[in-house]
Amino acid sequence: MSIDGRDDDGLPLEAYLAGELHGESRARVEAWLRAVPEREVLIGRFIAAAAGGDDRSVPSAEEIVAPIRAAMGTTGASASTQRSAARSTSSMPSVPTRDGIARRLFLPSTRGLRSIRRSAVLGVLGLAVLSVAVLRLWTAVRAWRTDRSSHTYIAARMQRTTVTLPDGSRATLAPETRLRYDVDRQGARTVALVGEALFTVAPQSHAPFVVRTGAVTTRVLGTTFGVRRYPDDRATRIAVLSGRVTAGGHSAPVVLASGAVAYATDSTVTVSATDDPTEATEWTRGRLVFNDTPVSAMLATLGRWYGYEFHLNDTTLAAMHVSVALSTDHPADAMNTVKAVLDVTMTFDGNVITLRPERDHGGSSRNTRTREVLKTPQVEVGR
Amino acid sequence: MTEAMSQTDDALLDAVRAGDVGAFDTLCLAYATRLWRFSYSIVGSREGAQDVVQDVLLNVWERRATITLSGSLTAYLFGACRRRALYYLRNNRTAERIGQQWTADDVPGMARASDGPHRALERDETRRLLDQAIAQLPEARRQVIALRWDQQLDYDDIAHVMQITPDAARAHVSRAYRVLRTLLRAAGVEFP
Repeated sequence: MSIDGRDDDGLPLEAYLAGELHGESRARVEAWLRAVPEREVLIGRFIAAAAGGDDRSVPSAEEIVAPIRAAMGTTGASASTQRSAARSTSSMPSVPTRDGIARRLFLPSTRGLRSIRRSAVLGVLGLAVLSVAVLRLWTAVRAWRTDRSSHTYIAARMQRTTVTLPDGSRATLAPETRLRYDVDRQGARTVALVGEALFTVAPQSHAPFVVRTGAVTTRVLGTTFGVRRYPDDRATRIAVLSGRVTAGGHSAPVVLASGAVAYATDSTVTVSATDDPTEATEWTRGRLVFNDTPVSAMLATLGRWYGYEFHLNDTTLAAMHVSVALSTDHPADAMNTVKAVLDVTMTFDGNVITLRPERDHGGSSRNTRTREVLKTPQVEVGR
Repeated sequence: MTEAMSQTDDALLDAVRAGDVGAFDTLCLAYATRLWRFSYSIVGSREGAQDVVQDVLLNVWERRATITLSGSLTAYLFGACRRRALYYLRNNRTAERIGQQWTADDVPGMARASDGPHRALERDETRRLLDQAIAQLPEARRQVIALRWDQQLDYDDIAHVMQITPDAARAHVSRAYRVLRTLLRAAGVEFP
């Protein structure tokens, strides 16, 4: 086999082992590995042996970092203490030496001269702390005054728009999306979202960027990701293109790495095994990709993009799942594709489109036939 | 190393440069186990791996103001761990040979003693073949495999860490892949 190409049987196994495969080709290699369980086991053992042994012997990150934290004098017990630690140290020259200095300064002493010197030093330190506090208060007030106003951005029906938020982050809004941006007094950036948007967040180490969709919170530090929750969506879809985000409702937040697509309800976060985050955000590049999507949900999305109102009385057809890619810029072409894929006739009346099944055949056989049509490449409509 | 990850890493490193302890803590947590595992594969002892990772990360903090990267943060950290681990080896002659650390009972799916004499024999034979295959790998090639298949670094990062060209890294992977294929065939596992 060639290392960049494929194996003799067409499997890019090396790329799979290197973690470079995603989506369908990844699933194919996994299926191939599982077909003969010894393959997976022996390959795993080979890599483990080459890489130094059983994974389970590796200590946790917390265990490894504990002595480093001890050397730094930080606890790292929670994100909030880390953040406050981060704020309070910017005026200090070097944290690792802090402990040493403090110990030398506050060492108990029996000699009078030492104790006088000690109180003098304490006085100077106190003054320094006070001035830092005043400075921080002033900057906080200034930040609050400049950022207290919230900004609202709206994309109307049939409209896609890209906006730059006050912190420099960019958001691309899908049709019928409303986004409100706020900065709280701690500097945390919060976006309340109804609809769908792709965010490219400007990194700010001290200030988290938070997207709220109902009870679901998605939290990031400099990354690109899409969030979708229209009023009739049951779950928030989060697609991470780069970096990491955490997402969660009332439950503990789940970390989503780049490449992940997850569906978050108020109580659970489910990472999809099949969804591709690139596909989920293709609309920002002019393509609507539907992957095993119910027809009713697809028509709702098409309505938002093309401004049509769809009438479909056939409940079997509405519940059927389809996979198809359509251009956002060519509604007429897209409608022809939809017509062919669903095997329906379309009656236009202003912006109202009524769909009727072409022939009267059973739901299951239609399902099969449609799936065959869907897998053919010509269904894919280019830009 | 994807472009995506390096964006996050850049943001983290910028914050660390500015003296952000929280960001440094995040960076440590993000890389700790990966660096530990790679260091362990070189020094062969838990204490050694812990020392190496600790030295490398604290060094990042101490030199944060002046630190410049010629490649990605991942490449820098793994490269520093490799250098530190080799230095550690020179000063501590305690390196146990890696690959001897795990036992059959530790590896899921592997035959166990309780499986009866036939399976036990099979296990010993497979184990022998595996040890033989690993022994065939020169030290540098083994490290490249650890970086590529265990840590999933890209060729540019591996080249940085190993101080070789990306093509040399590819050649290592290609040869190791051949060893893996031979192993699977010898063990009677169907393989292309």
